Amino acid sequence: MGNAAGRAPRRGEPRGNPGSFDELHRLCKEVFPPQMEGVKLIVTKTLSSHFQVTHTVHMSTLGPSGYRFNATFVGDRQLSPTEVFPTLVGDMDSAGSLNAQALHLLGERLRVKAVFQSHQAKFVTWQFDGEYRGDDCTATLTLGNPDLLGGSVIVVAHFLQSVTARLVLGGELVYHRRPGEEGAILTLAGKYTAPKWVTTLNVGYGGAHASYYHRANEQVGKLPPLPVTLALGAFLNHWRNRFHCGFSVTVG
Amino acid sequence: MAAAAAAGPGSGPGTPGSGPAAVAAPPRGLRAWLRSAFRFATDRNDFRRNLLVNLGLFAAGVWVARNLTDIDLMAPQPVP
Repeated sequence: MGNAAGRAPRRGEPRGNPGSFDELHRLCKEVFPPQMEGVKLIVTKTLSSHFQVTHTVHMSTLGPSGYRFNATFVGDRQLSPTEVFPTLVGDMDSAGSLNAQALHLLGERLRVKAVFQSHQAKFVTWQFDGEYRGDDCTATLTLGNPDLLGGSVIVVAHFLQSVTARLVLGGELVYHRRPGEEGAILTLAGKYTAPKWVTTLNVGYGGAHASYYHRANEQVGKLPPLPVTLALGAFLNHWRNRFHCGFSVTVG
Repeated sequence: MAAAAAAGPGSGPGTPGSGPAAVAAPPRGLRAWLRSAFRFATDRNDFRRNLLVNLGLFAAGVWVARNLTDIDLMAPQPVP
């Protein structure tokens, strides 16, 4: 066989679960700062280890201003600092538009999620998805706005496979159906993870999306969470004569 | 400038009777080439141009990320 270890030094490494399809570009997206405009006041009150409410007042210069109320309930099953099951989130604004999500873990590998969004009194989104996380693969099936009476649905299927400890390949199939028309779009995805950098590529009929993330140094000395936080931000697009700036105060 | 632009495509090295113009063709050819390259680079409706420009910008961003990691002045010094 020759020097197999020299030709494939990482052959014996465990491949690990590749994560979720929607998080392929997450590392790169997290580097970009959020665009702030207007004035925002966020007050968060933790009522218990499971329940928290947030009041947000946003005085916007671009869109309508308003107030939002958010309530979040998390259960006992914690897989990681950001994944706790079950999670129930409800968000309502001053116009009566609702955004509600429920996430739950069924067994060890199956996660289910339901999302409902309404614009004032009318529901605009109702979506259900199930995700299976295997040892080295992830499969997701999503049903968007299924309407049995109207005969319309959007079905999205994702699959990611860890081919090696560093390479993940996968794809996405979107199928939509309405009375009188139907269509499908296929997108292929690949992600390569090196010790200091990650690159991801999605290629489909609608175009391509590539991202590259490089860690320049270790983040040391992170600030502990503070009781009051002030954030300032500005955005300038000189070509299109667009500028907006804003600040937000977060309490709790 | 406009007259030179009008005369440029018509008096290239491939056209007959362009002997005396052959000596001056490279600068006129170069100017025309630069002008057409500028038009190509700024034509947002061209798919090939969009692909090339975006790939080039992406490659430039990757090069900066890989090679300019020493611009963080607050980073701890490497252990010798």
